[in-house]
Amino acid sequence: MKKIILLLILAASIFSCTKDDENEKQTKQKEVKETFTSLESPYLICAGRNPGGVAFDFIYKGNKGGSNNVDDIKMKELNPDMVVKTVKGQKSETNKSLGGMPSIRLSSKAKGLNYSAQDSKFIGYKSYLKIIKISDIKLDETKFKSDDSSFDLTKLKKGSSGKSLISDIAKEYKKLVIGNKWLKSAHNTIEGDEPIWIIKTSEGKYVKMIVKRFPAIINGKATNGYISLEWSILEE
Amino acid sequence: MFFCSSVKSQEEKLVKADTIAKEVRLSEVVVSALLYERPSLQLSKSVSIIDKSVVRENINSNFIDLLNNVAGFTQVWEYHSPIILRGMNSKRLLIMQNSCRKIGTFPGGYFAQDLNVYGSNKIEIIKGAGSVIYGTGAISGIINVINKAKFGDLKTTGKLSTGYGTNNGEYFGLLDICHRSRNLSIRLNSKYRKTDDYHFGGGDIAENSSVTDKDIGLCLAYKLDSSNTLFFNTDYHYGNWGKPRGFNGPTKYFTEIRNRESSGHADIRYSYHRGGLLEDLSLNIFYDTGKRDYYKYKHSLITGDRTNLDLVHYKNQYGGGRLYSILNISENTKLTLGADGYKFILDNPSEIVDYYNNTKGYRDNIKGAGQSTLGVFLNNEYLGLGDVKIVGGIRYDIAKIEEGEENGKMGSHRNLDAVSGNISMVYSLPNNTFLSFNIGRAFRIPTAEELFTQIISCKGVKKGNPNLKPEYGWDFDLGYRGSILEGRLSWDLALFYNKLEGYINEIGAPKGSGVDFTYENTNAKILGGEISSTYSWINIFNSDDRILANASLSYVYGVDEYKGDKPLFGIPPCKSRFSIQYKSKQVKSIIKSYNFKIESLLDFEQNRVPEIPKDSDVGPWGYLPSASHMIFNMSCGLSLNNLLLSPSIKLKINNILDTEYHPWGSYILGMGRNIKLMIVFRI
Repeated sequence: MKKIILLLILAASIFSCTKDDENEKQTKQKEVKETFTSLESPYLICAGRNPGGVAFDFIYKGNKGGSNNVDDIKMKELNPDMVVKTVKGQKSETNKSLGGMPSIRLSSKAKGLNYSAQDSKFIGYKSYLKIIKISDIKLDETKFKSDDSSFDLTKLKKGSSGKSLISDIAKEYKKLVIGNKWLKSAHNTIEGDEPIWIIKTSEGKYVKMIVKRFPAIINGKATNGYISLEWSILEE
Repeated sequence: MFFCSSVKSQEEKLVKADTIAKEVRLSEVVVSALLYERPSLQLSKSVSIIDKSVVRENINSNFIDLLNNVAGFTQVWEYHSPIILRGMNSKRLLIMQNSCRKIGTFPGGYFAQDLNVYGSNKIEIIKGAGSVIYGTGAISGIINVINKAKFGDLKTTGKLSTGYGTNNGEYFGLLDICHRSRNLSIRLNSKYRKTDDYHFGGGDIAENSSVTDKDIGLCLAYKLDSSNTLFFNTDYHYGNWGKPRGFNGPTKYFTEIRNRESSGHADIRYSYHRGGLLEDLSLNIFYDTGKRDYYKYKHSLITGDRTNLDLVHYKNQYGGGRLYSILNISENTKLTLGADGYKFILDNPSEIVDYYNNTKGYRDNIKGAGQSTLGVFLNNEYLGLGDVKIVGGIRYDIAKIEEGEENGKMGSHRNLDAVSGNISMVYSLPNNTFLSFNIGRAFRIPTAEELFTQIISCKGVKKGNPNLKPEYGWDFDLGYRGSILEGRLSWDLALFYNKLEGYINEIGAPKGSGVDFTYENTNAKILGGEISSTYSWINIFNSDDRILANASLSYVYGVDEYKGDKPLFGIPPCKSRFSIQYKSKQVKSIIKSYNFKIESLLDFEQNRVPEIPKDSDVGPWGYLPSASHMIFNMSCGLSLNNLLLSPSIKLKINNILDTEYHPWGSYILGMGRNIKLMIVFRI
């Protein structure tokens, strides 16, 4: 009798472990199965149509992440490394028309580097494609910077339109590592002069990023409000 | 085109047979072409006349709805469509109310959405250059909405109408009260109309297309004696209307545009009419004031919430007058001498609201922008060549366009002058047929908005070009028209050729300028023609009935010579209209009259459209080819005798087959089936 009870206890423990294993397997399988629901380039960053902008979480739970609209987050634990958004500014004290001021902002835990400024051999999309591993470039950790923590658009003086002056916004953008320096100028059509950015994510991984075109080309036409941006995790 | 009641003029002709009066097609009389009455067939340009009974028979909703059946006119959208005649928008078409100029604050000119179509007695349309008598803007033609005074035996009548339309839940009510005596004529009219969003053919809703109209008008006329009469007209309009989401292009669905407007008008005219050397002397002055709040909302494409609002407060006032005399120089020579002018002023402060970031601000924009003109004219009609009538005229205008004040700083101004002229010949052929030829030089001065102002429109941000020159149109018209078989068959064939010098066209603004569009002078030519015809069969089943068939065809071809003979913007497709109507009167029974009509509206395809300006977004209309489409309408009416308030019932079914179609130039579909019912009670 004692042997039977012992056998039963042993069987129960084996079953429960198996169940645990299965549960763990199922949990792991769940974790593995959760793919990142991501937007694709070109991204809508128009101040009127998408005022919240687009957030990029490059590494999501240890795997490749992606982007969500700030006003429609699909991934519950999104932890953005970078946000691209546009604000409106007043053109001047006398010219009260508004203009769009897009920018790229890094999170407090992310850092960025204009690699093209460091190594002029790496500039433009063709060069961007050649960077696959960290070892393809020479990264100097000391050159990575964070956005200035004093960056704050809300403290800027407002014009009569209710918006800050474009010149003041531009000055504030200089506190950002990337800011609006991701292209020589909007509507720039010169091929091959786009800077390549390297971003160190909050997880300590390295990502390359390039703004290919702004405004983005959609159906063969430069389309206001859209940015064509590409990024990729560098292999170690 | 059919004119029902008898008119007391020399050209009137009643045919009696079997002692029962019959209605035949009368030679219609117009005043607007020469400032005095002339039979429409004997003019050198094509004329269309719309009697108020036609408006009621068609249960028209608004002005553009009414004009869409007139050969040469084209409608793009419901309610808020630019008015296009012979491929030219309402900047080149002068619209008047009792010969008083109407001016709009839309980039496309005056839309007439604030005119009560039920408030007029008659609408006269003269196609072709009209600048000699009317000045700037009358290049493709003129439209005159006339409130006619009625004197006679002491009588007070009233009409109360109410109606409903199924497509957009339209409810409307009309009140018309007339009192007349030998010396006094008073008419009070009002209209209330409210709709929900309408449905496209196929059933989808045109979001944000609801309309509310409130109109009231008063017309007074007093005969001091047999020669001297005073007229006074005043009216007020309130409107609240939206443009359907997506009307300005498939990528612009995120915008939502509404207009809330109010306007008032008053005009006084003194008229002296007598035979002899001085046949007529007339002085009229008018004043209009208006306000239009233009709401341009932007929505997030992510959440659908409103993110921004550009709210422009257009405030305008304008006024002017005309003094003219008609002199019978001799038995065969009638000379018209006159002077007129107007001044228009516009302010457009705006508010900017950012709902997302919770900010609010304002912009003064411009104050006191506008234009003024002063012109003198001379027009002579010579009848001394037997069957040939010659009319010739000349006019000189000076104009000043002012930029106005912005940010406390006075802007610039431009002084311009223009000479316009006209020479025409009408040859009377046998059997009441006429051949006409007209050469006219008309002009249009650029507006303050085209020269100086930066505005927000549904198309984007537009900035003026201060270097613009006036537009001139050389207009050549050839006409053949007539009425034979005792008026049972009539026709009007009009061929035209317009050479436009300095045609002001929109172009895309330079990249990065912060502006979407600006203007430039170009050269263009527009040619084409209209033919319309009516035939009536009488005594079908009894001596009081008839069948009327109407057919028309219009075609326009436009070339932008500046762009290497590319298609000119705004040229509509070939259009055909056909209707057949049965009408009967039964005076002896309870049924006073009844009628039944079927009509077809065919728009051919239009593939000749201009390219979208480089590096700019699409405009709200005109850049898309359109497929051909045919719409069928049906209407019937019944008037009852010997019943309380003598009611009459009208039923109109537009787009019977609920056809899905794209009106020419439009990104959105046309209205689907609409069953409209109107009941009229008479006091």
